[in-house]
Amino acid sequence: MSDRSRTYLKDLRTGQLAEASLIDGVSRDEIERSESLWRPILLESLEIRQRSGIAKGSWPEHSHWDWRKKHAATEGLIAYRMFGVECEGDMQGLMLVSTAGHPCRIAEQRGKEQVYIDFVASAPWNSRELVDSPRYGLVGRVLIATAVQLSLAEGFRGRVGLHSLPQSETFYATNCGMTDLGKDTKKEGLRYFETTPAQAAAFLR
Amino acid sequence: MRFTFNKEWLQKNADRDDNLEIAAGSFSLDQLPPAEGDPGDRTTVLAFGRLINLCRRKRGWTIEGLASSARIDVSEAIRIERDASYVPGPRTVFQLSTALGLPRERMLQLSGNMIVRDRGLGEQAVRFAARSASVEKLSRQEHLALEEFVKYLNEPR
Amino acid sequence: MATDKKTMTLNLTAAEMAALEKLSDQKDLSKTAVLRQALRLYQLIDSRLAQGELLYFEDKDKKNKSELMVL
Repeated sequence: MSDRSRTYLKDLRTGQLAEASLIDGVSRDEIERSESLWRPILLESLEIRQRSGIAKGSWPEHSHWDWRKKHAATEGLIAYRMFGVECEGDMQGLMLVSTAGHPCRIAEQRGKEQVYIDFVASAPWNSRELVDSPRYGLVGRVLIATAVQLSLAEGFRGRVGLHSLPQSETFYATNCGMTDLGKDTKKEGLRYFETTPAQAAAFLR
Repeated sequence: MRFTFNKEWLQKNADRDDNLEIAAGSFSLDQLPPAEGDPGDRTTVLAFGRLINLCRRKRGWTIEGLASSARIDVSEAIRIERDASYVPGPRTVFQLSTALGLPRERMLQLSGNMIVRDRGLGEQAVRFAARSASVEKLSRQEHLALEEFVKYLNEPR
Repeated sequence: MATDKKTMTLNLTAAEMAALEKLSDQKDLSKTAVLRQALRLYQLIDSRLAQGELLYFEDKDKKNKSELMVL
């Protein structure tokens, strides 16, 4: 069972906002369809890079994520929720969150509950690391706003945490206004970011 | 659950979000060795440290300059260049690769963060480590060894 | 995910209610939210244990590990 809410993405070809749907409870079929669309685009853009002499090593680090596996591993577990943003009938981004088991780390809210973003990624055709002309913007903002709203609805007051991949640190620190708690040696050395209720409110304003 | 998104709010922030990546969560865990497993071939780790050292010196950077460009700790940059047993985390390798223009996936393999599946890489790493003995100034010999190894790393597989 | 809620009456002893109130206070959550968190964690742990995984507590010095028997 899934819920759909109306949202908007920026169509980067026209610069205008386009109507989109935020899906709460992405189904296995939707994941499989997304992966079957994402994978060839991903491979194609990687092949083009390879032909152009761009080193394989510059592939985005999240290109190996397997959303089908994540869906199967968390299906039926109430601590996890999977969200997607759909536009033009295609999945433009996916996010897996946990609503238990990841207590806050900022001193003033240490140990309090929060929404922890296990994984978030946009479709490969929306990533400037993979394609020259991305199709949609605002995928990240819509998904982070979703996490903040979920946190508010759960009684967590907007508290959200995540481990950013290096190329995304600016988005979380600057554009989302999250607190950077530095490198987490227990999580591949990725930097950990978290919001306070005040930061969450400021983000949504 | 139903969510609400303010169109004006999205419109207002649309331009500043352009060009920014959003991926969060983890590197590709399926390609990383288990945390308590084999720390990787010491020779490739040694070659990784030497490669960083030579690439830094080729650019005329100090260790502080390298740490600043790659946004990593100075103490970690020192350990990478001097401690052949030190395996830096994936973020550090990613940052160094970006700062020095080296291929990330192969850097992850060399640094002991990913299993080296390519035997050629292992052999080239040994050859490079052997040829690039440490001296203060980047010698012609080191320069040639560096050029050859970087060329190999960037070849498509 | 459909989030239509169902209501139930819960009978707790005084000690259980006191524990719930204390957690509710410490975690800055309603009593309902505390119980929902407890259920999420219980289901998650139970599912991992059912797959043959073990749950351990480790002390601060990382010297002692003790297995937690949940079921």
